Amino acid sequence: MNFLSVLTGATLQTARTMALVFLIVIPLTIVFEVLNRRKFLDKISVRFSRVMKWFNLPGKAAFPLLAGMVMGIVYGSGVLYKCKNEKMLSNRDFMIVCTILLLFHAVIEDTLLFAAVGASVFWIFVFRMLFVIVFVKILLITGKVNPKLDFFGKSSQLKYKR
Amino acid sequence: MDEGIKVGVKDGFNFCLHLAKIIVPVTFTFSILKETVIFKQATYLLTPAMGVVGLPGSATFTLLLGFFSLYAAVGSIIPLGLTVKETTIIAMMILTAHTLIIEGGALKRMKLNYVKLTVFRIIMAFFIGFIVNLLM
Repeated sequence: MNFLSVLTGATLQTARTMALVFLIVIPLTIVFEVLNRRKFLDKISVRFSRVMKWFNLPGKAAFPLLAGMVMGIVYGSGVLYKCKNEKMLSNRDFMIVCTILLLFHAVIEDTLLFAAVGASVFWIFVFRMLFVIVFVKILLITGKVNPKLDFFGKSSQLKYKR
Repeated sequence: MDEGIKVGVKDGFNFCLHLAKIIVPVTFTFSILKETVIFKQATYLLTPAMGVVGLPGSATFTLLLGFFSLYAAVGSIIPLGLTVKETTIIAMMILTAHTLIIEGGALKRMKLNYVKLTVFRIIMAFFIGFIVNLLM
Protein backbone atom coordinates (compact mmCIF):
# COMPACT_ATOMS: atom_id res chain seq x y z
CA MET A 1 0.00 0.00 0.00
CA ASN A 2 2.85 2.32 0.84
CA PHE A 3 4.53 1.41 -2.45
CA LEU A 4 1.30 2.21 -4.28
CA SER A 5 1.11 5.71 -2.82
CA VAL A 6 4.74 6.36 -3.83
CA LEU A 7 3.91 5.20 -7.35
CA THR A 8 0.85 7.48 -7.66
CA GLY A 9 2.88 10.37 -6.26
CA ALA A 10 5.58 9.80 -8.86
CA THR A 11 3.03 9.67 -11.68
CA LEU A 12 1.36 12.88 -10.49
CA GLN A 13 4.65 14.72 -10.23
CA THR A 14 5.72 13.60 -13.69
CA ALA A 15 2.39 14.73 -15.14
CA ARG A 16 2.66 18.07 -13.37
CA THR A 17 6.20 18.73 -14.63
CA MET A 18 5.29 17.86 -18.22
CA ALA A 19 2.09 19.96 -18.11
CA LEU A 20 4.11 22.97 -16.96
CA VAL A 21 6.71 22.41 -19.67
CA PHE A 22 3.99 22.22 -22.35
CA LEU A 23 2.36 25.39 -21.01
CA ILE A 24 5.65 27.29 -21.19
CA VAL A 25 7.22 25.97 -24.37
CA ILE A 26 4.32 26.05 -26.87
CA PRO A 27 3.25 29.71 -26.38
CA LEU A 28 6.92 30.65 -26.44
CA THR A 29 7.58 29.01 -29.80
CA ILE A 30 4.44 30.63 -31.26
CA VAL A 31 5.47 34.12 -30.15
CA PHE A 32 8.99 33.49 -31.37
CA GLU A 33 7.90 32.23 -34.79
CA VAL A 34 5.54 35.19 -35.33
CA LEU A 35 8.19 37.74 -34.30
CA ASN A 36 10.76 35.99 -36.44
CA ARG A 37 8.54 36.32 -39.51
CA ARG A 38 8.24 40.06 -38.91
CA LYS A 39 12.04 40.54 -38.78
CA PHE A 40 11.76 41.62 -35.15
CA LEU A 41 15.45 41.04 -34.41
CA ASP A 42 16.57 43.32 -37.24
CA LYS A 43 14.39 46.11 -35.91
CA ILE A 44 15.36 45.82 -32.27
CA SER A 45 19.11 45.52 -32.83
CA VAL A 46 19.18 49.06 -34.23
CA ARG A 47 18.30 50.38 -30.77
CA PHE A 48 21.04 48.50 -28.98
CA SER A 49 24.06 50.52 -30.11
CA ARG A 50 24.32 52.34 -26.78
CA VAL A 51 24.55 49.09 -24.85
CA MET A 52 27.09 47.84 -27.38
CA LYS A 53 29.28 50.89 -26.81
CA TRP A 54 29.39 50.04 -23.14
CA PHE A 55 30.99 46.68 -23.96
CA ASN A 56 33.40 48.37 -26.42
CA LEU A 57 31.58 46.79 -29.35
CA PRO A 58 30.42 48.30 -32.66
CA GLY A 59 26.67 48.64 -33.26
CA LYS A 60 26.81 45.84 -35.84
CA ALA A 61 27.53 43.32 -33.05
CA ALA A 62 23.98 43.74 -31.71
CA PHE A 63 22.42 41.35 -34.22
CA PRO A 64 24.55 38.22 -33.52
CA LEU A 65 24.44 38.98 -29.80
CA LEU A 66 20.66 39.30 -29.67
CA ALA A 67 20.23 36.24 -31.88
CA GLY A 68 22.28 34.13 -29.45
CA MET A 69 20.52 35.58 -26.42
CA VAL A 70 17.06 34.87 -27.79
CA MET A 71 17.57 31.65 -29.74
CA GLY A 72 20.39 30.01 -27.83
CA ILE A 73 23.85 28.95 -28.96
CA VAL A 74 22.68 26.20 -31.29
CA TYR A 75 20.41 28.35 -33.45
CA GLY A 76 22.39 31.54 -32.85
CA SER A 77 25.57 29.88 -34.06
CA GLY A 78 24.26 30.11 -37.63
CA VAL A 79 24.32 33.90 -37.35
CA LEU A 80 27.69 33.86 -35.57
CA TYR A 81 29.22 31.69 -38.27
CA LYS A 82 27.99 34.06 -40.95
CA CYS A 83 29.45 37.03 -39.05
CA LYS A 84 32.83 35.41 -38.85
CA ASN A 85 32.88 34.23 -42.47
CA GLU A 86 31.82 37.55 -43.94
CA LYS A 87 34.19 39.48 -41.66
CA MET A 88 31.36 41.58 -40.25
CA LEU A 89 33.23 41.85 -36.96
CA SER A 90 36.93 42.02 -36.03
CA ASN A 91 38.48 39.03 -34.25
CA ARG A 92 38.43 40.83 -30.94
CA ASP A 93 34.80 41.90 -31.23
CA PHE A 94 33.86 38.38 -32.23
CA MET A 95 35.57 36.96 -29.14
CA ILE A 96 33.79 39.43 -26.85
CA VAL A 97 30.44 38.50 -28.40
CA CYS A 98 31.22 34.79 -27.86
CA THR A 99 32.24 35.38 -24.23
CA ILE A 100 29.03 37.25 -23.47
CA LEU A 101 26.95 34.58 -25.17
CA LEU A 102 28.61 31.70 -23.31
CA LEU A 103 27.47 33.25 -20.04
CA PHE A 104 24.17 34.63 -21.24
CA HIS A 105 22.45 32.53 -23.90
CA ALA A 106 18.92 31.23 -24.52
CA VAL A 107 17.80 33.69 -21.87
CA ILE A 108 14.06 33.35 -22.42
CA GLU A 109 13.74 29.61 -22.88
CA ASP A 110 16.05 28.39 -20.11
CA THR A 111 14.78 30.94 -17.60
CA LEU A 112 11.15 30.00 -18.25
CA LEU A 113 11.92 26.27 -18.00
CA PHE A 114 13.31 26.80 -14.53
CA ALA A 115 10.43 29.15 -13.71
CA ALA A 116 8.07 26.29 -14.57
CA VAL A 117 9.55 24.22 -11.75
CA GLY A 118 9.47 27.06 -9.25
CA ALA A 119 12.48 29.38 -9.55
CA SER A 120 12.13 33.18 -9.49
CA VAL A 121 12.30 34.66 -13.02
CA PHE A 122 13.27 38.08 -11.72
CA TRP A 123 16.24 36.87 -9.68
CA ILE A 124 17.59 34.51 -12.34
CA PHE A 125 17.46 37.31 -14.88
CA VAL A 126 19.06 39.86 -12.56
CA PHE A 127 21.86 37.52 -11.46
CA ARG A 128 22.71 36.34 -14.97
CA MET A 129 22.83 39.93 -16.19
CA LEU A 130 24.94 40.97 -13.20
CA PHE A 131 27.47 38.17 -13.65
CA VAL A 132 27.92 38.71 -17.37
CA ILE A 133 28.40 42.47 -16.96
CA VAL A 134 30.90 42.11 -14.11
CA PHE A 135 32.83 39.29 -15.80
CA VAL A 136 33.16 40.93 -19.23
CA LYS A 137 33.97 44.34 -17.70
CA ILE A 138 36.77 42.77 -15.64
CA LEU A 139 38.17 41.11 -18.76
CA LEU A 140 38.00 44.38 -20.71
CA ILE A 141 39.66 46.39 -17.95
CA THR A 142 42.47 43.89 -17.29
CA GLY A 143 43.03 43.70 -21.06
CA LYS A 144 43.37 47.47 -21.15
CA VAL A 145 45.73 47.74 -18.17
CA ASN A 146 47.90 44.84 -19.28
CA PRO A 147 47.67 44.26 -23.06
CA LYS A 148 49.98 41.26 -22.75
CA LEU A 149 47.16 39.27 -21.15
CA ASP A 150 45.29 39.72 -24.45
CA PHE A 151 41.99 38.02 -23.66
CA PHE A 152 40.34 38.74 -26.97
CA GLY A 153 42.99 37.94 -29.57
CA LYS A 154 45.76 39.99 -31.19
CA SER A 155 43.60 42.80 -32.52
CA SER A 156 42.62 43.92 -29.03
CA GLN A 157 45.96 45.68 -28.60
CA LEU A 158 45.48 47.70 -31.77
CA LYS A 159 42.07 48.76 -30.61
CA TYR A 160 43.29 50.11 -27.28
CA LYS A 161 46.24 52.03 -28.76
CA ARG A 162 43.87 54.09 -30.86
CA MET B 1 0.67 35.65 -39.07
CA ASP B 2 -1.59 32.55 -39.23
CA GLU B 3 1.19 30.63 -40.89
CA GLY B 4 3.54 31.73 -38.08
CA ILE B 5 1.17 30.43 -35.39
CA LYS B 6 0.78 27.10 -37.18
CA VAL B 7 4.54 26.59 -37.51
CA GLY B 8 5.00 27.75 -33.91
CA VAL B 9 2.53 25.19 -32.55
CA LYS B 10 4.12 22.41 -34.58
CA ASP B 11 7.69 23.29 -33.57
CA GLY B 12 6.67 23.76 -29.94
CA PHE B 13 4.88 20.43 -29.83
CA ASN B 14 7.83 18.60 -31.38
CA PHE B 15 10.21 20.22 -28.92
CA CYS B 16 7.93 19.25 -26.01
CA LEU B 17 7.91 15.63 -27.17
CA HIS B 18 11.69 15.73 -27.35
CA LEU B 19 11.78 17.10 -23.78
CA ALA B 20 9.27 14.51 -22.58
CA LYS B 21 11.61 11.69 -23.60
CA ILE B 22 14.10 12.97 -20.99
CA ILE B 23 11.89 14.60 -18.36
CA VAL B 24 9.29 11.83 -17.93
CA PRO B 25 11.68 8.96 -17.09
CA VAL B 26 13.91 11.17 -14.92
CA THR B 27 11.07 12.72 -12.89
CA PHE B 28 9.37 9.35 -12.43
CA THR B 29 12.53 7.50 -11.34
CA PHE B 30 13.60 10.36 -9.13
CA SER B 31 10.23 10.60 -7.35
CA ILE B 32 10.52 6.92 -6.38
CA LEU B 33 14.25 7.04 -5.63
CA LYS B 34 13.94 9.86 -3.13
CA GLU B 35 11.70 7.68 -0.92
CA THR B 36 14.39 5.01 -0.50
CA VAL B 37 16.51 4.64 2.63
CA ILE B 38 19.84 4.79 0.75
CA PHE B 39 18.92 8.12 -0.83
CA LYS B 40 17.97 9.59 2.55
CA GLN B 41 21.26 8.44 4.08
CA ALA B 42 23.32 9.92 1.25
CA THR B 43 21.35 13.15 1.52
CA TYR B 44 22.09 13.32 5.23
CA LEU B 45 25.83 12.92 4.60
CA LEU B 46 25.93 15.57 1.85
CA THR B 47 23.96 18.24 3.71
CA PRO B 48 26.96 20.06 5.27
CA ALA B 49 28.79 20.26 1.92
CA MET B 50 25.76 21.66 0.08
CA GLY B 51 25.05 24.00 2.99
CA VAL B 52 27.84 26.24 1.67
CA VAL B 53 25.60 27.23 -1.26
CA GLY B 54 22.44 27.10 0.83
CA LEU B 55 20.98 23.92 -0.63
CA PRO B 56 19.76 20.69 1.01
CA GLY B 57 21.87 17.56 0.43
CA SER B 58 19.30 16.03 -1.92
CA ALA B 59 19.98 18.81 -4.44
CA THR B 60 23.41 17.26 -5.18
CA PHE B 61 21.76 14.72 -7.47
CA THR B 62 19.95 17.40 -9.44
CA LEU B 63 23.26 19.20 -9.86
CA LEU B 64 24.98 16.01 -11.07
CA LEU B 65 22.13 15.32 -13.51
CA GLY B 66 22.50 18.89 -14.75
CA PHE B 67 26.13 18.22 -15.63
CA PHE B 68 24.87 15.69 -18.19
CA SER B 69 21.57 17.18 -19.31
CA LEU B 70 19.85 20.47 -18.56
CA TYR B 71 16.40 19.00 -19.13
CA ALA B 72 17.00 16.02 -16.85
CA ALA B 73 17.87 18.48 -14.10
CA VAL B 74 14.66 20.44 -14.72
CA GLY B 75 12.71 17.19 -14.41
CA SER B 76 14.26 16.29 -11.07
CA ILE B 77 13.60 19.62 -9.33
CA ILE B 78 9.85 19.23 -8.59
CA PRO B 79 10.16 15.91 -6.68
CA LEU B 80 12.68 17.55 -4.32
CA GLY B 81 10.17 20.12 -3.10
CA LEU B 82 12.61 23.04 -2.79
CA THR B 83 11.69 26.61 -1.85
CA VAL B 84 11.76 29.43 -4.42
CA LYS B 85 15.14 30.61 -3.16
CA GLU B 86 16.68 27.14 -3.30
CA THR B 87 15.26 26.52 -6.78
CA THR B 88 16.72 29.84 -7.96
CA ILE B 89 20.14 28.96 -6.53
CA ILE B 90 20.22 25.56 -8.20
CA ALA B 91 18.88 27.05 -11.45
CA MET B 92 21.74 29.55 -11.51
CA MET B 93 24.29 26.84 -10.77
CA ILE B 94 22.96 24.55 -13.49
CA LEU B 95 22.70 27.39 -15.99
CA THR B 96 26.40 28.04 -15.40
CA ALA B 97 27.60 24.42 -15.63
CA HIS B 98 25.39 22.14 -17.70
CA THR B 99 25.63 19.51 -20.45
CA LEU B 100 29.38 19.44 -19.82
CA ILE B 101 30.19 16.49 -22.08
CA ILE B 102 28.42 17.72 -25.22
CA GLU B 103 29.51 21.34 -24.80
CA GLY B 104 33.03 20.17 -23.93
CA GLY B 105 33.05 18.43 -27.30
CA ALA B 106 32.07 21.70 -28.99
CA LEU B 107 34.89 23.51 -27.16
CA LYS B 108 37.34 20.81 -28.24
CA ARG B 109 36.32 21.31 -31.87
CA MET B 110 37.15 25.00 -31.50
CA LYS B 111 40.64 23.92 -30.33
CA LEU B 112 40.19 25.36 -26.83
CA ASN B 113 41.43 23.77 -23.61
CA TYR B 114 38.17 22.04 -22.78
CA VAL B 115 39.34 20.35 -19.54
CA LYS B 116 40.41 23.67 -18.05
CA LEU B 117 37.23 25.43 -19.20
CA THR B 118 34.99 22.66 -17.86
CA VAL B 119 36.68 22.74 -14.44
CA PHE B 120 36.34 26.52 -14.54
CA ARG B 121 32.60 26.23 -15.21
CA ILE B 122 32.10 23.88 -12.25
CA ILE B 123 34.06 26.15 -9.90
CA MET B 124 32.15 29.18 -11.19
CA ALA B 125 28.86 27.35 -10.59
CA PHE B 126 29.68 26.92 -6.89
CA PHE B 127 30.97 30.48 -6.65
CA ILE B 128 27.77 31.80 -8.22
CA GLY B 129 25.65 29.60 -5.94
CA PHE B 130 27.50 30.99 -2.94
CA ILE B 131 26.96 34.61 -4.04
CA VAL B 132 23.30 34.11 -4.96
CA ASN B 133 22.73 32.54 -1.56
CA LEU B 134 24.29 35.59 0.11
CA LEU B 135 22.50 38.24 -1.95
CA MET B 136 19.01 36.84 -2.27
